[in-house]
Amino acid sequence: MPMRVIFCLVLVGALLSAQTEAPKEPSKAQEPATPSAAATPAPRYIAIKDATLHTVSHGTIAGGTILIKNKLIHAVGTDVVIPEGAEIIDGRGKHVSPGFVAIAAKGALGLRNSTNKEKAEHRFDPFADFMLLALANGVTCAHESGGMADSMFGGLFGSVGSAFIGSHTGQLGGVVGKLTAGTIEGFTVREPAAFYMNSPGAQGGSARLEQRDVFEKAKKHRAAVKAWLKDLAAGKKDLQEPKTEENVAALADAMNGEIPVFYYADSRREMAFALELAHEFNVPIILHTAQEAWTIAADVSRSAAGVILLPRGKGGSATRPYTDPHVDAPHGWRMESASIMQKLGVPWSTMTLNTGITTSLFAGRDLLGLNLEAAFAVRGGVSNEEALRSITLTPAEMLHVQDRIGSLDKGKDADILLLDREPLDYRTFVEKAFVNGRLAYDEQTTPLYAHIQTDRRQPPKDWKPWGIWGELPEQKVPAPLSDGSKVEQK
Amino acid sequence: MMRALSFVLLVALGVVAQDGPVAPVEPGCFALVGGRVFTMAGPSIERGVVLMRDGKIEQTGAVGELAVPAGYRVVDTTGQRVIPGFIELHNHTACSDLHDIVYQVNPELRVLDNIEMDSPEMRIARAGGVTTVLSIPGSGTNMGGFGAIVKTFGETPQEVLVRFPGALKIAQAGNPERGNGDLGAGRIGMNWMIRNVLVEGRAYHEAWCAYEEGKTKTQPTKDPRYEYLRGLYRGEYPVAVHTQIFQVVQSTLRMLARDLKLKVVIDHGEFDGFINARLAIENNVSAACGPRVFWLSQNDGRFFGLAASWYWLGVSDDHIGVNTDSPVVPQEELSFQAAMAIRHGLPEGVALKGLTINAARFLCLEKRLGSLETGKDADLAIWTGDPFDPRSRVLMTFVNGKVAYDAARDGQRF
Amino acid sequence: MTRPAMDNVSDWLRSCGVLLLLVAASLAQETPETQGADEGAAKTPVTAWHVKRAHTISGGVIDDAVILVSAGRITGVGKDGVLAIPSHATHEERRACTVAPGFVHPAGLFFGAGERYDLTGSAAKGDETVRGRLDPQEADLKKLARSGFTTLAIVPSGGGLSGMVAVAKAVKPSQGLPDPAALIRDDKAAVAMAFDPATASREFFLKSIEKARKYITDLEAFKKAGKPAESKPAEAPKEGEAKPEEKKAEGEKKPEEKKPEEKKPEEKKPEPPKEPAKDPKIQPLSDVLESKLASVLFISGASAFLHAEALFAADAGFRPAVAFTGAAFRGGPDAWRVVEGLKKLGVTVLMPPQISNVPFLATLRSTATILLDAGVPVAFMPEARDLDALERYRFELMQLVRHGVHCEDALRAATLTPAEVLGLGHRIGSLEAGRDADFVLYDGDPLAPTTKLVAVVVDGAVIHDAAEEAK
Repeated sequence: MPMRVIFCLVLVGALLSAQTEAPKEPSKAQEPATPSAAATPAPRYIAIKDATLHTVSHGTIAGGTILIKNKLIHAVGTDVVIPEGAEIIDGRGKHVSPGFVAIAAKGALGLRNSTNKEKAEHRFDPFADFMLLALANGVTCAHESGGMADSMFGGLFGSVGSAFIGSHTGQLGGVVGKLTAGTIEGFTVREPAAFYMNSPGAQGGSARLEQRDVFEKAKKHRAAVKAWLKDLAAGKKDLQEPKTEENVAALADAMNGEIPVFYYADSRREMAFALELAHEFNVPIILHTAQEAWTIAADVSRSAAGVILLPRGKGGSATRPYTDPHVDAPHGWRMESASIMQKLGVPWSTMTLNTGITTSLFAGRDLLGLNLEAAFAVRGGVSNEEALRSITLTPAEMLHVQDRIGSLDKGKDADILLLDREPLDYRTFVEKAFVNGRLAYDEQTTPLYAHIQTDRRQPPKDWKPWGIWGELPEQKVPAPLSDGSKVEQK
Repeated sequence: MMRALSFVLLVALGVVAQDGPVAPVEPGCFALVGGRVFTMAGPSIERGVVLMRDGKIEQTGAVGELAVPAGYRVVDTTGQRVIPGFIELHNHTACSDLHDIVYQVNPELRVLDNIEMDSPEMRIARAGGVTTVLSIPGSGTNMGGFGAIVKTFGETPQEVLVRFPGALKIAQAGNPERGNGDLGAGRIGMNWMIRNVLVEGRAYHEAWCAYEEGKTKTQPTKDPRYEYLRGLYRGEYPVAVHTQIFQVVQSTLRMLARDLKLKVVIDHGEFDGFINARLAIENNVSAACGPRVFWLSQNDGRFFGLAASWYWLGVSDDHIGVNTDSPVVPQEELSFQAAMAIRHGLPEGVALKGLTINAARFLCLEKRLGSLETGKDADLAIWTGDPFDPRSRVLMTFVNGKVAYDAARDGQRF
Repeated sequence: MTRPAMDNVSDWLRSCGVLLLLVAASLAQETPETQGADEGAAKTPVTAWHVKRAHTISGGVIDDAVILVSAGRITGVGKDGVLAIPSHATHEERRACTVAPGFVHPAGLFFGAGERYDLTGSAAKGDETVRGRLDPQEADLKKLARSGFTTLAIVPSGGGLSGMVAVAKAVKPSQGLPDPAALIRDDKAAVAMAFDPATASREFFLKSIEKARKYITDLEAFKKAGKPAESKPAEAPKEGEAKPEEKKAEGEKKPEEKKPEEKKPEEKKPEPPKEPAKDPKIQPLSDVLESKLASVLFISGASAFLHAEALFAADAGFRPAVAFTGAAFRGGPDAWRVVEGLKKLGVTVLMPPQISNVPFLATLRSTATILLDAGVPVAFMPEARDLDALERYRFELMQLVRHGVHCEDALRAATLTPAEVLGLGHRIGSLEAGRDADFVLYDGDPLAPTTKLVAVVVDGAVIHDAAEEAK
């Protein structure tokens, strides 16, 4: 027995040494060498222990542990065995959530505008400030449609929120990417991401006809492709693969359910036209912004594959209804929109007022407030779990990446947030954000928010901003209300 | 007339809907029973009772200690929170017309004549628990005129108007430059303009005081340009100053607070204005921060909450507030502005004070508004939970003791 | 011994002494250099520069130094009184001066070579030189002469293989417009490349590297085939046997390989390797892979470097110096972000002599300090187009010293390291015997703000003298 062992050891040793003694000649130009089996590094484990886990897919687990192995989630639960050598993070009192999926985003992926259709993974800047800001606010995966403007830096207005770039005849494009700050590995999840279509809107009749025409062509193309494949299988010769314009081909793929369709429509009239097409041609479309979806909820439920909502609605009385018996048609936005969709079983996900990121304008109205926006859906009547789903698993499903993203499940990408409060709490801060199992953001090593103590009843440490002169006043404890009572935290 | 009638009908319907012995309902008498009551004048009452009568708070107390008189319409607030109505310090939507740019300084202009009852924005604002706003001219000129303090609900102008003049609106810098002429595209000119008219106003006031006290015999000329400035110097109302960044806030504090001894409310205080905290404390100046809530310092890469910074640099919790600058941020989102201020470091207790009793004090209306105390206006809102949590909502809002918003009746407006 | 014996000894000693003197004299002659055997023939002129201090870069700082210059080269550097100075040497007394090698600019766009570092596109222009594009003016030469820069590299622009880097030296400004030929010493000192991951240049590079490597292997195979025209498969085994001293294992393998083929006559006989065609547009890349040619890869910043790692991984011979052009809006030269990657590759970094200031995150970092502390060689590339700016160079270096770069490291990054990047480390950039006599005299520490430039020497001749200019 021992001899065999020794022999094996010698063999392995010989193999290993052969590996390291490989000649130093310059290798031929080839793909970057893949490591051989003998040289696979040991798996890297990270465990967050004793935290409240918001799995999204199977409820909330108190006192749970989540184990990351290399790039994936390896185990989730209360009885997770943590391997020796794992990095252990104490999660007591803290919350773990899947990273947020921004289904309508701009600037978070650090993309520059590129006119030559180069792949997003070659265009993005892993050191982009906006990527770090988005991670600091919980976004680990973002969907950006084509045509990003080159506005990497805030200026007064931050990155410009994307009015969607598209046309009424539709186009294929966009990317679903990870916020892999500091590395170019593992960026692309899906590219192209989807087929985008604008409502013909105010452009009038001919635009509507053109849009309908695209659907007709796509239907024909789909049939032609089906027939061609049948002929191929039957062994027929001299066949010509059906070709058509890119947008028609993409819509045909969408009809097969292969790619998502995002249709930009806000008003009842615009949506009605979209739903008509969706129903007639049996295309699963997702209505984007869909402010008045609640007014035609039954139709939406019947014909749309989902809606992307702004739960808070747009500000001002122009878009908000108020009970007025003299106005006969329901219109505008409604706080219960998400709740209405939820009750009808229409998948809904959350977008923000400004889909970009601002560093100088108003808090909580841009992409950095994605979880706050979802909280407004709770105001409108959905549960916390349903609202969290709208910024995690539901957008992943809409983007067809749910097998990898959107919940704390074994085998999914380790895109995980360690939060100091529950994910929809307006006071919650991201302590650590993992993307593909790698620590992409750490609150303590980034200057952004670390000085804002989680317990804001105590004076924060190091509040002194640059430019202040003299000594700060004595440490103050926040004064109680005039007589001694305090506003309790939950 | 129609409105009043429909209201009465509604109340009547309410009567019919009630269970129990049908006692004659006294109009304008409400009892909110069971919820947690934040009086802002003492510890919050875990299971509290609030009695309202004739538009005023009659009494607050605990369930079991304070009896509900017969005939009061009872609203069950168990599990909910009763919070004084929020007071907005920087609004441009309650009255029509933003402002008129006539001269660089327009102390004679006023919004009094633009008061609206039931403006569309205010209908929604009530759903955000906002009951009073200081509606002021915009910042297109260095001195836009005098604003008015109005309620977000009322059936007559008298009901709506709390006080005029509410406050003088001054824009120290950061907007008027665009419209000003040769004198006033820069701060030297703007500061001169502001200071000059205020100094002339002070002289006017002193001359009239001397005459009124019998020290002089000749009656000075009445000048409508300076007339309202007198109340400033009598300390009857404040000056709400649109001012931000370090240098401009400093000039506000020195010129208006220290030299002219006016009651100053810094009504934006954005960017790095908070570096002047020391000067603000010395001159008893209050800071109502908004619509920006944070400032990302490019020198050290940190997000500084504005209200939090004023506070942590020493400004007392009685001198902090938050605003929306509606329509920049919709009026109903005043609570959300406070939420963002809390997120960026302001203690919750201070935020709640800021929207209620502090704001009342900034407006010299602490005797009438800002807390649930006997004799004060019955302005309050019933919330499902923490008003700063976006997941909470308003169920009912009372203004002057009347139901100004009822989610069950009006639909959820916010 | 008797008196007469001692007399004899002293006589003997005297004559020995004379002999010794004669021997010494003859030995002292530098015979190899003398042209013509005449007794009165001129010896090669030598100038001995006596200075207060010499920053040799390669051999440390020498106080009270003397530098020997002859025929345009440095022939000796040492301490005054220790280093032997030829008797016929002329002496330049500069005992109040400090001397350092002239600055070397590794990546200039002067004299009209270009507007900026253009990284976009992907063309193969390995055969292009910049000479035809240059248009130096008299005024330019004056500025150059007094800038303290003795060597300028001028780089072509454009994504992909941008072209060949020319090396020019400062000259004494003279009347009339100079012919660029007088400036340029080498048209093809190095090859410049530019990479932008957001354009097709990525594919271009991977393909080009592959092509360049293939050329090398094909050429090796071709050479190995010996006399290619006559070699037949049947001879192959003999070849293998006939040249047992060949170390190539393939030679030994050939007999085994060929035999099975011989047994299948119907199979085609393997073609003898043809001489691979040289593609002048790609050829420099092959030289780079074999470390025969210096090269620089221009990129925009750390993010592009991460993408460029794929290029480095494609071929272990692909190791150009990496130039971080570092646009200001991106926070200046941000090579600090990828210092580990740079260290692993062992490449030299070119960067502007600036601090990195990242907006928002407000991190002020001295990129050079971080790189040098990690052991990554750094060469500075100051302002690319503005000759006036070159005069401010020393102040930029001072700024970096303030942020933690050691004085000697700063000087090295301005002299020897850029010379090495250009493949000229054996010729310029340091004060060492055998190097070109390119140096600058200062009236004090070159990195002190009050120090002034006194004189500039190129190839042993003074091309700029501040005192003369002042007259």
